[in-house]
Amino acid sequence: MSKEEFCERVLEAEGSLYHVAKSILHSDNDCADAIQSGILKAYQKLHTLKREQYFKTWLTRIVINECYQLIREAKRYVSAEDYPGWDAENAWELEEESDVLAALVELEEQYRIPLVLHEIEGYSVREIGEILKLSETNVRSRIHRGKKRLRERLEGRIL
Amino acid sequence: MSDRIEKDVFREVPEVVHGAVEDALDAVRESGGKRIFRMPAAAAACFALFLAGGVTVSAVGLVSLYRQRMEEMDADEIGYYYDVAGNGDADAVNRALTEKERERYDILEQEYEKNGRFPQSDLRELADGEVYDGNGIALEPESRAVYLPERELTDEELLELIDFHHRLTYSIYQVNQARILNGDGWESRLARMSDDEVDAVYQAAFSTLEDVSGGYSRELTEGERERYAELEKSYEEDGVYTDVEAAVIQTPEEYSGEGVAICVRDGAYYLPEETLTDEELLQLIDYEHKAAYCIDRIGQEILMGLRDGYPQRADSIEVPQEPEQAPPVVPGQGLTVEERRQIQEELWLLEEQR
Repeated sequence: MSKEEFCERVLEAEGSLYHVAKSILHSDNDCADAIQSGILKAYQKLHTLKREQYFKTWLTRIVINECYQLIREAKRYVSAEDYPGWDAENAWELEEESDVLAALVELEEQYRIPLVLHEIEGYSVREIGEILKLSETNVRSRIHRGKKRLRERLEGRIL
Repeated sequence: MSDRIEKDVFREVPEVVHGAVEDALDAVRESGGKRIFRMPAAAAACFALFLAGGVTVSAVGLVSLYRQRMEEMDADEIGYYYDVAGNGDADAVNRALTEKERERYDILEQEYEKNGRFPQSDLRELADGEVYDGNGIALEPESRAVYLPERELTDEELLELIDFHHRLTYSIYQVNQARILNGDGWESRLARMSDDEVDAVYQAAFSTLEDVSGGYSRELTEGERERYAELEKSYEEDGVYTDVEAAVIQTPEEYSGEGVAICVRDGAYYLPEETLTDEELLQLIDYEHKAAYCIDRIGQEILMGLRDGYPQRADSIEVPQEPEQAPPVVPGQGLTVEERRQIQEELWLLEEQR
């Protein structure tokens, strides 16, 4: 893969990378840092990519790792369930309130990330398994439970 | 539900993120290209040592213990470490080494490479679903994350880390070498270079005695840059190359003004004022690829015990005594030496990220 092809494919995946990073980090500045680091590391390790058709999956996994690295370094991540008084809307820096967004960010990470990858980014169950290093059964289960919990939260908010 | 999530939750990529992406891609486009993604971590460390002037020559007999340890890995083991290496971030660790641990790591690594001091055990792996309990050190293969206890690491634990990193590097190198040697592309052609040819390229490109070196004697024109990019693609993908190599000169004063030449004194490529022909651009592309390949290969051969050290510098070249004056401007480039040094340092920082 040439430099130009690498750059083209990164730009094609830009939106997807942002959505995935946003589901983990929330802050746009943090997302920018993680994605930038991920791109540079991906270029450095391009020789480890075994098949080019898996480029987007492979790059997504690297960016996810960068997101977690950022969290480890900052030591500021607290899950929504554990942090008292956590404000979902402010955490996502949105100007408008979104009930779907609020419900999504309240979702446990183990459900939120597979849900975003599957429902928004269109990754297959197999691809999500490769990205998150989970079995396909595990991925299906988390997507199913994620949808169910999201629906319950939305219904609770609407009512 | 998906439509609603997409509509309500995710907007356009914000400018701060897009800007960061473009900055990263600019760095990729502007990079020397080859060494960034071709140099395994250990070879990068060797090259960093070279830049610092701290190259250590090892006795081949002792280093062979290291080589023996690596060569004892069978194909399955190499494949396993290669897979782990591809699982993500080389720096994924739950805490950084302390300064004391880092100093000890460096000392033990020298003993590992040169004196055959190896760990008693392999780095422990967490089982599927197992959560690190804070005891000892452990690897999570799926994420390549290494977990360290809060207390100071023992020598055995540091050696296990060193051993793990070296096995990763060796496995990546072996898998890539096998692929390269079995192929027929530009990488395979370079892999068939003899040791003498590799030494000659190293001498020309890296034996400079000057602190700041490399680059071109003049900037490429826009047209030349466009043709460079096209020809580089042909070189890498279609096997297009030239049989005529760039000339090697010892000092800038020797440059005749014709054709492409690489200067041993400053490691720079000297270009004619006239527009470069395709043949000359291919010479430039070929030599730059060879230079990156050769430094990579030499570093690995040193680690494997196949070489005592880097090829000796050309001592007949005198270091010029520069009078104290304002920083010189590189002819035709519009950059001062300090500006060029800063750019090179930024590129090296990118290359050393692992």
